[in-house]
Amino acid sequence: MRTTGLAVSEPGDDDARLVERLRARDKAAFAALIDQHHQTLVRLALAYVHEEATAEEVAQEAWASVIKNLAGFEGRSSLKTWIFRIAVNAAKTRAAKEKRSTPFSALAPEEPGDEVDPARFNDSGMWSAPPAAWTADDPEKRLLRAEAMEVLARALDELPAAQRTVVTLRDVEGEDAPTVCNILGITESNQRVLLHRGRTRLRRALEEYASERSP
Amino acid sequence: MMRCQDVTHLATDFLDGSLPWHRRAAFRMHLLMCRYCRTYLDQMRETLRRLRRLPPEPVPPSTKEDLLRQFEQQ
Repeated sequence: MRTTGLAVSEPGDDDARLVERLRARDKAAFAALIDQHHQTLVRLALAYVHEEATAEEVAQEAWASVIKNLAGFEGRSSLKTWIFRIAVNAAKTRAAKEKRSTPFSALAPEEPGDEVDPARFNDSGMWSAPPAAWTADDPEKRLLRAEAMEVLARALDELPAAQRTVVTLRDVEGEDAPTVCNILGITESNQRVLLHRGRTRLRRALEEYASERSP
Repeated sequence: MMRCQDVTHLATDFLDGSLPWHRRAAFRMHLLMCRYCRTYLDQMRETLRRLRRLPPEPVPPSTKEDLLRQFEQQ
């Protein structure tokens, strides 16, 4: 559940109720939907179009299309999955106009950072510089947690586009692997590799933050 | 025998439940014996917990107004 306080993304009954409210032109329901998923739509678009401003435009186009096609939503997927597909299609259309290749057509070769630094293991593949536990039992705990969330949000924004897209759909939006493959048109193994690389980078960002905090 | 480096390579597949059973067993066996890898995996789980709780960034007000207007007019 996200922080908007309105259950807008659960499949099943809640989804059906939400769709009903949207079709009844319930403005608050649509506002909550935008609040919850707009950033994801921008991130999806950014995987295809590169310019932040263009991605914003694409996200807005996608919402316009959602408004227009709401009557035709059949509930074969969850509402949010349907919205993400619309956004990806809008982004692909824009990318084609700009003659950009899609980022998922080929898996990028592994880059430094995609895995834990090999220098942290000895010749037998065992930790030589093991991770230190993140202790949270101090009075600053709450503040640190809030700060760590900012670190995480920044690290997510800085991920390579394809990794950011997969991590956002899987770990932020909570979509499952087959759905993500379907939305992005990628293979199961590419999805896994991108998710793994992205998660590895994000854990490291938090690790670096934790180690700065405890000298 | 699974190495620590293998554990870091396979962490996502393990958490997703997509490792074949024999790899999964070897992974679990390694975790039993290696507290560093337990720490690593705990941190990965913590990262995922935080990602799920990441609050969405505010939508630019002009964008939101514009979309709500379109929604009303449809």
